[in-house]
Amino acid sequence: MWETVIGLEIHVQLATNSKLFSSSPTNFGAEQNTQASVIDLAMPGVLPVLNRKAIDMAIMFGLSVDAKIADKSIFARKNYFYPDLPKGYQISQYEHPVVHDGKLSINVDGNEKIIGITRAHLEEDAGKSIHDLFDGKSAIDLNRAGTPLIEIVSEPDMRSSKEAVAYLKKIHSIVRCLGISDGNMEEGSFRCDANISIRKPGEEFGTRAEIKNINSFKFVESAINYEVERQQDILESGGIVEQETRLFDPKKNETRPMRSKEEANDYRYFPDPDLLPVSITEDEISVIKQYLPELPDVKRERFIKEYTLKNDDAEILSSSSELSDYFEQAAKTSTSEIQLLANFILSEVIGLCNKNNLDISQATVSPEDIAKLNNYIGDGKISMKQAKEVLSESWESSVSVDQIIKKNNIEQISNPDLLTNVVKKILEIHPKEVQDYKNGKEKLMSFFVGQIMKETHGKANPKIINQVLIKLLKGV
Amino acid sequence: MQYKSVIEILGAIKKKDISSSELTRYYLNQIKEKDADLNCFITVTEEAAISKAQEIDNEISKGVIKPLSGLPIAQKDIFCTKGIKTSCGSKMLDNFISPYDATVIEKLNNAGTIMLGKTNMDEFAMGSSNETSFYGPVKNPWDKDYVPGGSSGGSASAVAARIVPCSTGTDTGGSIRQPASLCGICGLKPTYGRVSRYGMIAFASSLDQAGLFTTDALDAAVLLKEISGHDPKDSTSSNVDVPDYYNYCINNDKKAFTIGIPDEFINDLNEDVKKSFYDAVKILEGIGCKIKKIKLEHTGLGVSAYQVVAPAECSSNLSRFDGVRFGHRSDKASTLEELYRESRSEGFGKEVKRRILVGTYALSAGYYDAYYLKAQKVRNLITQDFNNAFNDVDLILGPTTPDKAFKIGEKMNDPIAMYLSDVYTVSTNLAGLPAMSIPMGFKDKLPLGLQIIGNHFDEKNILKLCHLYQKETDWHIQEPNC
Amino acid sequence: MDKKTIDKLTFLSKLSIPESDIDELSTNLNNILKLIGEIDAAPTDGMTPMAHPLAFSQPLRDDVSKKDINRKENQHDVSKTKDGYYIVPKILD
Repeated sequence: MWETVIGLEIHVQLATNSKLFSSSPTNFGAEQNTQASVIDLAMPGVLPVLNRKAIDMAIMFGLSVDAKIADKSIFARKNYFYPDLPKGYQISQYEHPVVHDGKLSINVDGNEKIIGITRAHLEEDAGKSIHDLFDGKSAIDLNRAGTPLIEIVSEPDMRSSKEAVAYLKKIHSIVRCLGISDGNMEEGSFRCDANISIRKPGEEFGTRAEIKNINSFKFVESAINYEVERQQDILESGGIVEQETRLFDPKKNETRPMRSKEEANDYRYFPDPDLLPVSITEDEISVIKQYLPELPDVKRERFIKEYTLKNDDAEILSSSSELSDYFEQAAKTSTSEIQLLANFILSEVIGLCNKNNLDISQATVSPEDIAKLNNYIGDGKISMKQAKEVLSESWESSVSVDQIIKKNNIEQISNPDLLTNVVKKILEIHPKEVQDYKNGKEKLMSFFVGQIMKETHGKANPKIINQVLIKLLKGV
Repeated sequence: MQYKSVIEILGAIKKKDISSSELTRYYLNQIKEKDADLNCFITVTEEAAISKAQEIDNEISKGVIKPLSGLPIAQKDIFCTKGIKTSCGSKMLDNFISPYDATVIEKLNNAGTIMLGKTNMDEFAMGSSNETSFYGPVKNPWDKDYVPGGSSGGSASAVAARIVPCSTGTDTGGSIRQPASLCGICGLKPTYGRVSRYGMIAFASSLDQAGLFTTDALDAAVLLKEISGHDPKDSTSSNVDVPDYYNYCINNDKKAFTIGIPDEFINDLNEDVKKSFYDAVKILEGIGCKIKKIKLEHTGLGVSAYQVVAPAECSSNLSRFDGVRFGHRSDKASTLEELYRESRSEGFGKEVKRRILVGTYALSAGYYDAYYLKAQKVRNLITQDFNNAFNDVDLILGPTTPDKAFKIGEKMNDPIAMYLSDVYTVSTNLAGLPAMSIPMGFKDKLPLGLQIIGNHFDEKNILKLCHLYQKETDWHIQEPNC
Repeated sequence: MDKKTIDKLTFLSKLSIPESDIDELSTNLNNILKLIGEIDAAPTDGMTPMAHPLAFSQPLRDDVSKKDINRKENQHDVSKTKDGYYIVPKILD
């Protein structure tokens, strides 16, 4: 009976070599204040010079969400004091962002939905304040200060935490696919603020609370769910929701108001007089368009069409370019059904990656070898069980699958004549079970299969065993 | 001193009539002798100057001559100088040692100049009398009871007193031209974007421009070439070609300038200033200039628009002085809020605080449109007036200031009166135009200045006209007895 | 400009004005507001606001990083740092 209304502001750190307005490196984890130049430190007299790559990346994003690219874009100063903001203002964009009026489709429980993207603008990141390093003091590290961000602002179009997460994941996969961000949420390269309000359907928007700086998909879901419940409790007990900024505490799984009152601030945005309007021409846009990689949605459609994959599998395989590259590399040399190859990658290879905490790009078994394993299963040369064992050994040792198969003499016995002899032998030493089976205890079928597998050291092709068993048992 | 100008000095050094070291010592002695009283310098860099001069002498003995080899110069303390205190006239930066050089400093160093020291100025360049400096007022060498003007008062007074042959300044609303006028020397503010602002501590970024003080126009021509040009570190610096200003000034092709005199610059003048001004006009007519009456209808709004735009930008530019990374930090603070408020309140003087407050007001919610945005529109109006005028005339002429220098202390408690001493200079900053002040006479033994305004990037014709005028007059070679 | 407005402005600009200076400041600020208020009557209909004196567009820099950072020189004022960090009184979020 309450409707949730969610809008997200996503901050995406751009994967440039240098900062937005200075030539300082942007590497994560450098020693404190060694990546902060006189410009990042806001030394008296320094001036900003804009990084071309950041503009290009923002345009790439804009083109990927069907947005308009401003032909004239303006940088503005957002004025407030904070120790991690050296200039006392953040260079951001206010009235004329690079990207505006875009949209994105998401899929939740099989339903397509379009989420509007109001704008995406460039701005500089702040430094970091560390509160637990020195007694009674905060320590400021400005290495991150000036790192380029795009802030992607959605329309308040989402109606559940599930939709919000789906939207967030979609943006995440787009920026990763474009190569404009590493999307690393733990390091803060991808984080979001959620604006949440509730209302009775059909009524005006309710008062919203802004939850700041959420840095995992799971936390976004928890924060929204907590916040919705909190607001419902307030409204149902006759209270009013205050417009405020809150923080999500993942340990307590709750949101709480920020102690400092941001609301008292007045950011006094005005065009930065140190920077001139940025012109973006149609020609520049069309060059960027030309080099745009295939986007996840387009790739998914192609996977379904080209490989006849199931929609859900195509969706996952197309969500990151590392994974889709791995899959397509394997598919190139596959002679078996591609859906089976996809299953194998999604369950076995991804399983090993997760177990070892590795990214697919760090997989120690090549996509060519994965294709081979699948081809062998398809040909009946090895069993699924054997394939898993070979994969596991190859993963550990980095020895090729062919060498492991050869060394361990792994081969599936699929010759019916050979297997007939084994089956006969097993039936002979288990006359009681044979009798029981004939008297209707058909469950014993698996007992016979087990015995045969044991006898053949698991090399027998289960399909053939079944055929031979049925023939012999019914024939006896 | 037997050498009367930058050009004579450069010639003498080149011919080895005098060494850079001798020259440097001469000026350092002049500073020692006279500056205790004048207070032109915040820092004198004696050791560094002597060692640089020796370096230059070595180069010269090996035949290496740079465009400004051996020329002593004073730098306004608004330009960052690596390893040397850069105070901007403020207690806030009394302990600040810059880790880098401003582009202007780098260019002048590379051209072979010898920096003698850093000159006194109004705090953060906010002032028109040099009285807002944390380091005390500078005196006018023509009469030490009078102000030298500001904000580049130290640089102007030092050149006027001949304790340096030339100096740098910055001009946001008249901070080069007004003190040049009150001190009886040449002060050139180039086109916005002509000279890099990198390393020049920002007051109002869209108005600030670096420039020069010299005794004559040819000296300014020689120096301007060396500091001009696009700087990849300053996005607002222009890549318009830098001409050879000096050769343009001295070549003989007669130029019949059409000169516009705006009613708005003349109407309210007192009789003395008016007389000096029309004497100057007569001389220009005598050398073939055509005089035309023009109108700059909205220039009267210049001071008001300027007093919105400049404080707005400064309120933001000065936020970096928060006591966190450099500059004054209060020892009375125990919370972050106190650290900010106490450091800034102790570090900034009254005028700087007033401008920050006015600027904050003009940008704040509810007032932005009425003040900041409106002022930017007025700025456009004023600029269009100039653009229209330059369709008809080559240069625009007027007095630099409404009157001669005023007494120290006279306007300190009246900010409005102080602001109005920039009435003829601010409009060119709003429009980004180049302009120069040169001496045109005296009133009660205090100098008066003539202002020549040119079109964007037309410094060469301003300089040429000034040179032609100075060939006919001797105001610029008169020295104060100080 | 009253005390309340001045309080708001000093909060935003992180200044503190001693009580004894408020009257003088307020008088001066009011005079300044009167001066700048003169733009109110200017005929600016149809004028675009002019943020820059020159109408050219932003030059862009290639994305090349430079390692020319000298923390020691940047942190010349050692009274404000510890172990390479800038130190401030404990911040509340």
